[in-house]
Amino acid sequence: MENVVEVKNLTHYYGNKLVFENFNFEIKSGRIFGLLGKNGTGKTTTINILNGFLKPTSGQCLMFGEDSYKLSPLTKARVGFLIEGHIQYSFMSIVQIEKFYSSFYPKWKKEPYYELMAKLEVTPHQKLAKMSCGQRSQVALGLILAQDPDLLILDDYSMGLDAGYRRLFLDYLNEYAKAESKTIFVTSHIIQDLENFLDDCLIIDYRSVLVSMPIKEFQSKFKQYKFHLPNSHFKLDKNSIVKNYEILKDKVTVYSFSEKSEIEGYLNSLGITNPAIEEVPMTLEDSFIGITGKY
Amino acid sequence: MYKALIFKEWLKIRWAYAAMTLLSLLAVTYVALNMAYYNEFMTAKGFWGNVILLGFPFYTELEYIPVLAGIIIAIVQFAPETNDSRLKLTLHLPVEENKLLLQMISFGFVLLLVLFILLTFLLWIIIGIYFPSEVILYVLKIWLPWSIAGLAVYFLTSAIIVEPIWISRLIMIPFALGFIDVFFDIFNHTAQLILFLTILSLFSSTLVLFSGYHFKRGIK
Repeated sequence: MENVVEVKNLTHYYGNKLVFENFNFEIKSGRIFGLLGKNGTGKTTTINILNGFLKPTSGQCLMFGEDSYKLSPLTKARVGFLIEGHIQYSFMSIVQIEKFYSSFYPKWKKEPYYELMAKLEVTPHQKLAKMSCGQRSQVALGLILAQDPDLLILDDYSMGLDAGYRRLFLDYLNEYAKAESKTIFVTSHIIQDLENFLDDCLIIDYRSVLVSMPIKEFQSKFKQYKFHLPNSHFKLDKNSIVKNYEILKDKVTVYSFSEKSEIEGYLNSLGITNPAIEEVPMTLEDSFIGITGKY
Repeated sequence: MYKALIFKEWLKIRWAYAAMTLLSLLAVTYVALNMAYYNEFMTAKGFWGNVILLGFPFYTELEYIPVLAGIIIAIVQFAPETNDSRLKLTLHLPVEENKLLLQMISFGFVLLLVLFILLTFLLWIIIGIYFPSEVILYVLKIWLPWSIAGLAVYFLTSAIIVEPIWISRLIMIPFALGFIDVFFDIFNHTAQLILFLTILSLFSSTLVLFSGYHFKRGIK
């Protein structure tokens, strides 16, 4: 499979503030790739660099083999871009905006757009400015689907959407991506929605990459263990076994890629014998919080 | 593709443009009514004498109309683009970015030019009712720099709105004010100076490309 996106040794600073350093990842053709991270970890910055709206301090981003810093019009036509907050031309109506974009994209298909619009309680000549956030999100999605791009970049599609609109958004996107073998690059702050949607994930924290692997592998390998403390003076450190932990009174939760036996061995080495470790299943959101921490 | 872009720009500008056209026509009508009044009140001889010997400015209501039009058209055209970084949508269109910005600014320029030509024509007609061609040319020589100021202020305001760097904006504002002020210094307007100011004004249309470049590269 060819790489649609390649990010090589990307480093970016805002003034003196380091956003990320030596960031590397690639997105294969036909995959649904999620960039996950807490607020302020650089998700939108990455998307801005990818679309050429920000020049990185160092490193390189390639989109369809072209430097994202100088994308040709032909490559831009292959990329559908959803701006955070579903920003569109709010002074246009449903009909006007479809007509406007259709003349820029040779592969334009208006059917998926109008199919989606038919599901909304809106009139064809209603201005986007007079629609709800959920309705505007569907307009933005419909326009991207009509563009029929090879790569869809969706910057926090879930922002401001209620559960129904989020589900509608992902259902449509999922059906489209699978049917047309499209590549999707998505960021979202609502992790639970992405559980059965993503193929690959990249979880980032402030300045570093925490996880980069297929989502199924992450969910099967990353585990949560709980046990009770023998005494209140117990201390843990993050290391190759303990990726993260929480201690609340005498209850300890450890997050790890290691098997239960390895955790037991590690705790034994700390002087804790027979800790009665319980492995607790996790949703994707639990795993995300587990690896990134609550704060 | 270009028709679509013009359509988008027209959607943003149309109401403000209609309002500015109406305001301009009202100002010209006011000047025409005033002229009729002066002709009656001062008598034709007195009105002539005041205009020809004392340079009585019976047209001052029109002085800031072009500048006002330039500012308003720039705001309604470019503020919706920079609001919520909507310009990203435009710059993501599969067209060369500078070409897009130049087409946007050319459209506003053409609309303003049409409005100013219309006003020039109307001014010509109403002055011609009372005065010979020498007076018409004298007034148009004063009106022409005001119109060019309207175009220059449109280019400069557009560049200031698109510019994402605040310090650059703060530098551009006094520069723009100083440049526009030259157009209203009516006693120094030789034909050469008017030509020079026209060339400089047209050149200022390219400033939006620098602002667009800063926006595109995320320079803040």
